[in-house]
Amino acid sequence: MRNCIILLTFLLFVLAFVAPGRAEIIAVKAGRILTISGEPVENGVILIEDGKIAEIGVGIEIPEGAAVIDAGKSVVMPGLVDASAAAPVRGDLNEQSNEITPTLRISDALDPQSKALKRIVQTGVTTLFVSPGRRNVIGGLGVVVKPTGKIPQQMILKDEAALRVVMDLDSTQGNRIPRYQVPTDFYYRRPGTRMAIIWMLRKSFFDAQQQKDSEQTEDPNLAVLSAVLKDEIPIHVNARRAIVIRAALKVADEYGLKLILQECTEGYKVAGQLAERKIPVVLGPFYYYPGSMGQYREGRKVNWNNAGILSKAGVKVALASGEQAGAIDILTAAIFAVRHGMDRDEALKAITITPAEILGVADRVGSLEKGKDADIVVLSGDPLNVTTRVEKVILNGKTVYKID
Amino acid sequence: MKKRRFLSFLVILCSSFCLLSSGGEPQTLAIRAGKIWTLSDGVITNGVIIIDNGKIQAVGENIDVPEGAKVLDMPDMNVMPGMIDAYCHIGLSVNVQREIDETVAAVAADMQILDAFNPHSDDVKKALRSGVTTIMLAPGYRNPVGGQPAVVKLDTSKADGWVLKRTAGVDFSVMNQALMFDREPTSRAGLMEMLREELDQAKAYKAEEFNPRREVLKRVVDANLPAYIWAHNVDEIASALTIVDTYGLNAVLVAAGQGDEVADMIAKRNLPVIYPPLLLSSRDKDLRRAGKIAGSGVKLAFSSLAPKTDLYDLRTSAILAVKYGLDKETALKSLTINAAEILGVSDRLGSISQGKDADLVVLKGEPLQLTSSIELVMINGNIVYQRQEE
Amino acid sequence: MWGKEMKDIKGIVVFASLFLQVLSAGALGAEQVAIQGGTILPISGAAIENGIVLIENGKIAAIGRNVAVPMDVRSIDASDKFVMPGLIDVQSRLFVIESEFNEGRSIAPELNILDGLDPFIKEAPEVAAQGVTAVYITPAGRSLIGGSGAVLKLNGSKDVGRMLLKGDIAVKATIGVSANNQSSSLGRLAQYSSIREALLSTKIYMHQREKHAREMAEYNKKRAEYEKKKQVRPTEKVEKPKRPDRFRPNPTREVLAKVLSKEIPLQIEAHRVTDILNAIRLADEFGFTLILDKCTEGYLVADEIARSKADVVLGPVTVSFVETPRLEYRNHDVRNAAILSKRGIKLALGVSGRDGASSKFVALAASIAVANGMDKDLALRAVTLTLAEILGVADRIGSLDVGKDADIVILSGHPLDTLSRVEMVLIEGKTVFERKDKQ
Repeated sequence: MRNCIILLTFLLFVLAFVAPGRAEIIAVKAGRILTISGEPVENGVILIEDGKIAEIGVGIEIPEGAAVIDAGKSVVMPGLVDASAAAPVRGDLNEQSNEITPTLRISDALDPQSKALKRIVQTGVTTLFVSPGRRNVIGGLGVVVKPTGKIPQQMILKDEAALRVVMDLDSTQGNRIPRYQVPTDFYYRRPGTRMAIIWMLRKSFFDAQQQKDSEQTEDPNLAVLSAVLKDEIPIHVNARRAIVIRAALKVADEYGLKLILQECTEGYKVAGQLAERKIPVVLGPFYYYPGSMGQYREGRKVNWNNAGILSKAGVKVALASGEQAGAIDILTAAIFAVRHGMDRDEALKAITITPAEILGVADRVGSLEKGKDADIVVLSGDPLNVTTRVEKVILNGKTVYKID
Repeated sequence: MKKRRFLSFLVILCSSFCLLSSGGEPQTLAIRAGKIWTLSDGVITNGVIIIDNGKIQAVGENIDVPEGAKVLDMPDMNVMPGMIDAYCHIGLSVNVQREIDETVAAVAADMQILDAFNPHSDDVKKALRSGVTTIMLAPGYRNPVGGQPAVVKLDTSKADGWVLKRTAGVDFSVMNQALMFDREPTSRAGLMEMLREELDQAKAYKAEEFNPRREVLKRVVDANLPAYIWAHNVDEIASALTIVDTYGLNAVLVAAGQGDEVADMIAKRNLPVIYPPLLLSSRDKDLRRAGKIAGSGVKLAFSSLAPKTDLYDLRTSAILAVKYGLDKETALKSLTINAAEILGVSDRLGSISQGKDADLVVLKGEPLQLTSSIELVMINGNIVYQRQEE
Repeated sequence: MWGKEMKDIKGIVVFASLFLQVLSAGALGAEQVAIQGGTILPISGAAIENGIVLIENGKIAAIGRNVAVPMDVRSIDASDKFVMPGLIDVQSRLFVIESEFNEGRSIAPELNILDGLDPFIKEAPEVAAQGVTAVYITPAGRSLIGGSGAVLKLNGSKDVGRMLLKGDIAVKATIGVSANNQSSSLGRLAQYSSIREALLSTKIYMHQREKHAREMAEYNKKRAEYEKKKQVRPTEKVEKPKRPDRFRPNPTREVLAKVLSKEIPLQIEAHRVTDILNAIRLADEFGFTLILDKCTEGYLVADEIARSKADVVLGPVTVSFVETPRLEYRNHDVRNAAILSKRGIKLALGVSGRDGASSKFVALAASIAVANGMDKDLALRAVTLTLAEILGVADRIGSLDVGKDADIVILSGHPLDTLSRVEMVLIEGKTVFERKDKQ
């Protein structure tokens, strides 16, 4: 019922806020167009109409009155997709009052004025996945947004895009176990160990499964988990070490969950297993801040050849910035991945169409195809060259960033 | 013996007080003033206001003063309706934060701020000195649901009659300041989830189950009671709009500091805005916002959030807003009639017109001149403040 | 032109100013500007209708109704406008970085606010656009004796040395302000006695310094005699005079010694009646020049303040400018300025805002004081000339007089009318702000 209302509101918002579009035509001319979905187009033209790609190819006639963006010899590629981005959110990313908060929608906390958004656009990213923080075992529902719009509702591309689960020890951080004193606040809570993390996860889905048959669900938390069990909502699991990945696979087997793994720094150790089960991975961050986080740092180590090994084994790999603002951007991550053994085309896909597919928005973004959103990045040269820089970012047909 | 003498003294004191305050019997009062800013139909120069029994009986240029009426002749003075502070926390203890936010419970819908109000506080005198005759006394913004604000007239020295609305609405906050690290909610997403849950439950509330919290929220969900929603930044305003749209609330935005950036969306939903004091921010950009919001057709009222700012600066806010782009008439209306409409008391307050309460402010100079001193303040036809030269 | 005040500032600053001087003299020559028409409020005298202000080399060369204007001057038309000296905020936080504001040590008179300023802040142009041409900044804060303050001009420079009008204006002290918004009588007494102790030991220090100087003079005399005798009769045995013990100068004490010898005033921030009276008591005991800062409850002891002849730097006029309702302001009254000024106390008004940009509200603060009973002329003086006199910079700024700096504001209406707009702001004859959206 409530979902219905939410959907209705969302629709209302979309109706209310989408500006009455003029049929404006923009033509982008470029030396080389990397469509990602097909072969590169040399000296091609992209026609944009109403924020969508209307035509793409060589020798297309530019209609009269169209605004022409001549990118000269620059390289053009689809706007990058960051499947695990720094959250443009004000306030706490987690609801700390509870360990299991599946109904929490991070879209409620989006801040369109966030500085993180401006920074991320400058790295060529036009679609990003924002999820709740890492302090809860089940953190809530993430949202796919585009870094544009005055209010949160205008940013959202797909709400309730995935459920966040953290199986690393990050989710135990801050939790305290009452020993001699009576619990005085809600930080005295489980889990404190990985056993407890896995138990809580298992218990949550168990409860949801019990509810599954009796159609009428009163508890909104269980409703979300049931939707996950029915494969309506994908589940993103944060798992770095191989043992955690294995544990995740085990829980997934028990409940028939379809996983998407995040961080996965030791993924190369279980590459075969992941390929066999067709589990996509979102790698990143590629830099960890030094510090004394004790046990919570477990598995925080960058293995550069991880991406190459996984993709060669046949795993669907996406490269992401890993929720860190100002760390290594995903274009740079792709360059390093190629240097350490990843295939060039795979690396380019890993920052465009693959994450779009993982997030379920490949019908809108991720490649330059007719009918898709006109999210375009203009680069000074080959994207996998370290000296290449982002010259211009076009989002829904509008230039949102350009270098001076 | 002694006791009796004391009693008789008391009786004399009381009777003389009654005489002073109400003139013994309902007396007719006439005010002649240089300029009368009626706010309902323009400015009347050299006009007369006839007050009978605390109500305005007539106002105009050529009106006969009835026989036996007491006449206040102030040919070089300006008269305007008593100003309305649409949001403040006066008359509470020194540590205001402790009085206005019941942060133990995040949803404190059944708390009534009036229970913490001291009608004999010095703040009331200060407010009268500032020309403010009516206030909305409100809880703070540190709770998702803060409690029930009240609309109060400031002749609080009287025994009763000064409470216009004990429950003027329910105070909500979707701001980051409503989050706390040690009580639910700790995140904005959690706050929204909590509000939805509360309002859903209120919707399903039936009168047989006794729950005062739900009962008052039910009135809000049924749009019988206004929701005063604190939202400052754009994202917070968007959150507030989501709640308003989802539940069809009768809402008022409080402190929409960045409201100018989404003013069209606020205007489309006909949401009034209670604007925070302009002296709280000093950047040029922020000072222009009030004018821009009103310019988009949003009904505006000013607030002092006293004691965060001095109540005296309610008028300063309006004047600063004019300096930075608000038009003069709207500014004056925002101090009076618009505020009265937003608070739902415009049948009695907000303008100098027939039948309304005789709550008047007499200034030496125009109301939107900061240097104009407030000479006399009147509530229900009784003089409650008169300036004395030092 | 950068006068003797500059001596105290570090070499680099002197160098910068000399550089500027050479630059301005070389590049601009004898530039002349004439502001014509309008009502001139010179502050030091009566208003002049349809007057002319002639500016030469950044100074006011002539002012009055009958001023001969040379042919090739840059003329500014100010008809129907008001021309007045630039406003000054005496309690500004402009350029001050938050971390520089609160020195943890309790007695630190040797600190200088100039060392902690950030000239790159964005708000300065906004403040100047409201007719404020100079600000006085002190180390505020929680230290009992906080260091010396300075007057800076808002001339748009990004170099503190170029903005500086005068440093070491006064040493700032504080009684009765607590960091945690709590207050106890004992705590305030302790603060008072700590300041007194610092002043007392300075007195002892001065005494020792004097004694040492005396002894040295004596020694030098004896030594000279000895040398002479030695020269005349080298063989004769003469007793060599003994050199007195070395004297160790103490920079902290030196600053306070300047206060005690009345070279610079001591500016004491005091809010409550007891604190104000304690400050006056200190001034009576040590005989320094006292500037009473803030003076929130001054209206309750107006007679005592008048008797003490202390100058008052009053602010905030309204408590709205203060961050949160603080305990010090609980008896704050908007009529304070009016009551004090009626007793003939020399009074300056400051904004005392919560941030740097608040300094733009100088005229607004004066207007509020007027609305609550202060005399219009006195209120205007309180943000210009009286203020400059209290700070000892009246030879340069504060009024429109021949020979003073041409820091001039042109307004569309009377400065105390909040709705009048600032049309143009000149600092030393150069336009730093001009309103663009002229109707």
